[in-house]
Amino acid sequence: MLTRRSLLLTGSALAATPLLPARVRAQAVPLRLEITEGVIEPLPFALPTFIARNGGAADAAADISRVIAADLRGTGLFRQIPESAYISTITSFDAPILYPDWQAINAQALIVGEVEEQGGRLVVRFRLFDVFSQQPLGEGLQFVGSRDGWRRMAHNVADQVYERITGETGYFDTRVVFVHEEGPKNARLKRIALMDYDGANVQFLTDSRNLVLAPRFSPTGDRIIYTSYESGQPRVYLMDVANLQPRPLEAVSAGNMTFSPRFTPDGGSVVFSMEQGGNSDIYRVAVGGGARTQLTNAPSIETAPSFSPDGSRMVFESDRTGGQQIYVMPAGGGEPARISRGTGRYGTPVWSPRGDYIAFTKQEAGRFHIGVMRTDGSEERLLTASFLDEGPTWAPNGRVLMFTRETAGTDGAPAVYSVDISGRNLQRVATPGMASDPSWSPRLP
Amino acid sequence: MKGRLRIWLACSLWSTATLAQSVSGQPSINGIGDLVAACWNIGSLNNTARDVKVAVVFELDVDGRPVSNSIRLIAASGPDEAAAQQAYEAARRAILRCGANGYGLPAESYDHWRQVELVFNPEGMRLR
Amino acid sequence: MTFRFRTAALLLIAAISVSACARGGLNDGAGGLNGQGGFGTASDPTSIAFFNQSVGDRVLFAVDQSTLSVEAQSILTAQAQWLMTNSEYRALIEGHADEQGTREYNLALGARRASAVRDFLVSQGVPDSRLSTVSYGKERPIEICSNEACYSQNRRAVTVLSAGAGV
Repeated sequence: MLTRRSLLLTGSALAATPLLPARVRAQAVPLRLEITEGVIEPLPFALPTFIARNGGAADAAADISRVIAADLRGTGLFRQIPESAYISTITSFDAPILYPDWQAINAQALIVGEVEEQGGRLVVRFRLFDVFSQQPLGEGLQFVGSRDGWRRMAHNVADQVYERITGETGYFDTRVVFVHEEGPKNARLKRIALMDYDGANVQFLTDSRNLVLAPRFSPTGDRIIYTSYESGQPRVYLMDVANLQPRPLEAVSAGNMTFSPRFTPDGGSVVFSMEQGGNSDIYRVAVGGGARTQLTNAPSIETAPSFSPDGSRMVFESDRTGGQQIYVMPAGGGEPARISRGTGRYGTPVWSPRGDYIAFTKQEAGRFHIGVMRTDGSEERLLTASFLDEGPTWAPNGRVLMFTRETAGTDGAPAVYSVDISGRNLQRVATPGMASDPSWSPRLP
Repeated sequence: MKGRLRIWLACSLWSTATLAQSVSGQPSINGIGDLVAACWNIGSLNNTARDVKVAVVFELDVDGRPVSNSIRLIAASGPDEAAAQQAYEAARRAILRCGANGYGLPAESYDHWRQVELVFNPEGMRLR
Repeated sequence: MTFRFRTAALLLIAAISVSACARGGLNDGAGGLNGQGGFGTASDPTSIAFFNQSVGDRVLFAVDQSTLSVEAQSILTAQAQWLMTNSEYRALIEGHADEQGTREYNLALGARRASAVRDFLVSQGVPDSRLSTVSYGKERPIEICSNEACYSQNRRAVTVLSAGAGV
């Protein structure tokens, strides 16, 4: 881990009280200037292709370097300086860094690494340098893994670099469960599929015999819960990622549809909607079975429940006042308070894993938006706009969202996109074919 | 928050904006602020760190170049230590990167500028 | 939005059903259309084909609504009479929504529509035991353009017959 020098912090007092003068020797008072306008642009970094310590590591060194760079570029926060501009050549992992050479090409961060093959396993080492401070940023780290695991090792390096520079937890060593779609718009075949966050390593978890919808990860990433028409009715099923054996969440009477499931933050329970006689309400049941608890009881549609990370509150959508709106209520039940206040309709609320925002789908004047708001409904911010954007899911660091974007018309097709919570860096995720309903895993263990 | 994108796109306009404001009233010194502002890039910081105001003190050599190992964080707003560290490192990069060739200060008044305290205040960068 | 076919006669709805069924009917779901009894011919008033074409197997809804229009009620009244005459059939009522909505809400909305139809048929005397419902939300559009002409056809509840009331 990164070792940090301890900082002298004055807390929130800084904004209100004048700074104490620094201790000085030659001057009675140091010159003091306040800088109020900087720049906001991606941080330029250099990443010389990692050194291969032996012949067996050559391909992996190139592949790993490529994936680390792609991870960092993909955030929109970093800009890669092309290798052709480099003055220095890194010939050895331990060689001293010639900082002026990197300063000259205006690299602010330098990532140096090597890859070694040891008995069929790969060892990846890297160091990160702050070029203008002329010092390492954190300590060097080493990852060991199987050859097949080279992508994860690359994502681990990128996570470290991202964390050390931005201060946020990385999100590259993660996976996404989603729905893979095939076929024409009026006869879609759908399968649950799993991929790395960047679209690599796609694996299918179900076949296309039964219509499947909206898979969600468990908080530990080892289970998936989703809706399937296997019985003829939409019903919630659980699946262990390890064995891919689906089982119904619980036995419900024939004719009742269950849908829109999501795990509670402790992973021990599932909240979902159940329809009876045309009316949908939200229920909670333990994953291991047991009594079903009814959380909402209204003649309107209550669906899309999601818990706050501390498990104390639940956000959901309801059309009790006519159109869809977002409500928050105590997790155990109680009076819901409406938090969405703007015009239009609000659905699919999802509580951020950091607890600070709720992401949602907004529908207004024939357009769809992905947005975020504070948990009391304030500071609403729309991040996207299109013919059909829906179903946001949070990266584990709570700073990036993925969602479904569907195009219009007879050839309309869904794809998975990502955007950061400032609304910047909108990107299409590279899925093989049509894809919808993404759900982001936690950081992999 | 809503204005971040606009700031992002408008960042090339920084030079037309008020870059620095003197607290101590030394006119020849304001150039330091302008130079450092041009290198103060908070684009890779997270939203929390982007809101942190930091005060940094450092020494200059007689040629007007910052002395790398003299740079110290003396104060930061907000309780988040990690965010303060990121904000401080962005400030330090700005001081070193844009001071690499010296700040062009008059050597005869070295005693007036050998130690400088810069307050990096991002408040105005959040257009509302 | 008001119902588009304010002046439309049953015949018009039935005509739409025919074209829609011919194109997409087999995708409508698990039940019925390829059922054991067979389609029969439309000239046989006890056949599924007659029900689909002459009685009308579907009703349409306004945006976000599950209330039954006057037109829908007259179709469902005819469906109920037919079902009571032909008591060997069961009916699965499929509720659908157009693509302009979130997936989960549309699923719940489709269930509301199917349930509204079921309740109406029961109120007309069809035994509840012969009826079941399923919602497809926006998953099975019958028309695939992205404008109101298609949306209005997709906001539907379809009565899908299968033989074997006693089963």
